[in-house]
Amino acid sequence: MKKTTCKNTTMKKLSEDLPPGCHGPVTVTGAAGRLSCRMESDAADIPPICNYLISKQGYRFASIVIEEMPEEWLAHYIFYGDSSQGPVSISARVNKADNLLPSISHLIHAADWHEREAEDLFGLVFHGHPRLGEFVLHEEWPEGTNPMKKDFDATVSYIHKEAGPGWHPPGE
Amino acid sequence: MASAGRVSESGAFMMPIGPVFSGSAESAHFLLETVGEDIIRMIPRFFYKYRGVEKTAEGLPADRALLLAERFSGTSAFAHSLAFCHAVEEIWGIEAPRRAVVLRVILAELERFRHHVAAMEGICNSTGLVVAASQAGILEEDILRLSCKFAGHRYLFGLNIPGGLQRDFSDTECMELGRGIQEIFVKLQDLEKRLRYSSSFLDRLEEVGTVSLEDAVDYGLVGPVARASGISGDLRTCLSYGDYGSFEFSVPVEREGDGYARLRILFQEAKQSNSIISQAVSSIPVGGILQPPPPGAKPSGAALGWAEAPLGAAFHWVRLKENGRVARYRLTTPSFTNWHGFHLSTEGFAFQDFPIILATFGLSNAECDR
Repeated sequence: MKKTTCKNTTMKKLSEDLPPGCHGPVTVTGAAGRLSCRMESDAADIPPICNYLISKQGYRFASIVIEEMPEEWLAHYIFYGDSSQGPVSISARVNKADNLLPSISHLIHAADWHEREAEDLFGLVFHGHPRLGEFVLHEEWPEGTNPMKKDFDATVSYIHKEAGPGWHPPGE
Repeated sequence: MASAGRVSESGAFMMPIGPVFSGSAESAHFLLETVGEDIIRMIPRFFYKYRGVEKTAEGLPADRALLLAERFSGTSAFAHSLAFCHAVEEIWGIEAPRRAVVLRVILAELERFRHHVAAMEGICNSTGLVVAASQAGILEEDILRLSCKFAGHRYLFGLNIPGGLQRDFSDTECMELGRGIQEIFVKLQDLEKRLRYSSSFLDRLEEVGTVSLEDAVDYGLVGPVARASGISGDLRTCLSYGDYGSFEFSVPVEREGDGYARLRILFQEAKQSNSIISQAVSSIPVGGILQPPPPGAKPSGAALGWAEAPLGAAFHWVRLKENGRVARYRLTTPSFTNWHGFHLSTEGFAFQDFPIILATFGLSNAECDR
């Protein structure tokens, strides 16, 4: 897709005037389509940027999209604002060996289930999230098997775990 | 009493509800912690059916993946297929012709109208108001039959396609649909009037299942549930798409955040949908209904598509590879968003209110079964 300059003036300034706690660099590009701008930053800068969008710019959280690339994870955080500001996405790349993203749930509670889901389905760890594990995949699902990963083979049968008598629903 | 741990008090017990329900609803489990009358904590559990929809979509051509989007949640099939089509259209750099865009508005509002009437039936049913539930049920069936006659499918499957619609509708068909919906709407107004004067019914809804504006913002709630708590967000206006800008309609907002506010929102939105349909059927532009994809190799890339589904904001994120097949597909459904905050409406309310609160949220379990 063709890259253009960012039409979203607030976001355009963001690369020069970084939000508090953000170390940069943040690249801001426009988007040809319905997204008003795309940003890319270090994973460590994701929480301050997301916090800035929500608490200072009045954006609302839409979604987290995880993509598996050959060498790295690509995480897109999507927010949307009022009619004058189209949705924006902030992306961060994480080395597969690290497998770790900072959690934003303590800042944006709406992201809680998105992070828990990504942990279950991709095996990505969200540092600082208080409750990861057994969410989409229930207690019988074998640990360490993440069905959304590219190397997951649906033709192989996986041995399900037996939930012991001490098992109780998550959330306690 | 209720902290991070389990509720511990003399006489405290846990009441499981579900996960298997009769009827067509998918599985969901609600664990109510109580010391007798009031629900102290409610722990929901979903995802009993992991369908692997996003995984299955990978490697499929866009028009095949569309079938997965459309079938993700049957009661919001049109909205989900629309959001998916928006994403693919953006990647391909095409726009649906205006005639298709207006027809899509009609179909999306038809779906919202039917969905809300079904939700009203659920609310009447939950309070044991059998006659009103039957009346709403009859209206829902009328809309389903009207949809089937108009579009060939009761739940509007098989209509959307990237670039427009699979079939055209004649002006006479559209006018007939508009008249049919108007007739149903008149009956719906009568039902609303009767419900408004049924004090035993209102007693069960008012000041029950309240979600504060602060909590709704904190949990990022969407759709009618959020609008009942004072959030005016609606993707049709805040991220306007299609042809909504050219129709006169309002986004109703209530402040109370209780069960009755949610019911009022449903009635008001049904009224708006009827109004949009009646405006649209008389102003359908002439022209084609399908913009074909660019010839040769289709462009690759990623895009976000969205639509205001009957239950709220639906986001579909799609990446297409150079060979035109899906590399990654991610759905964010309004029910997934709203179930996250559902417990807020139940904690502190009485046990017997639970089914009513559940009905006033009217969420889909299937929208969590990714």
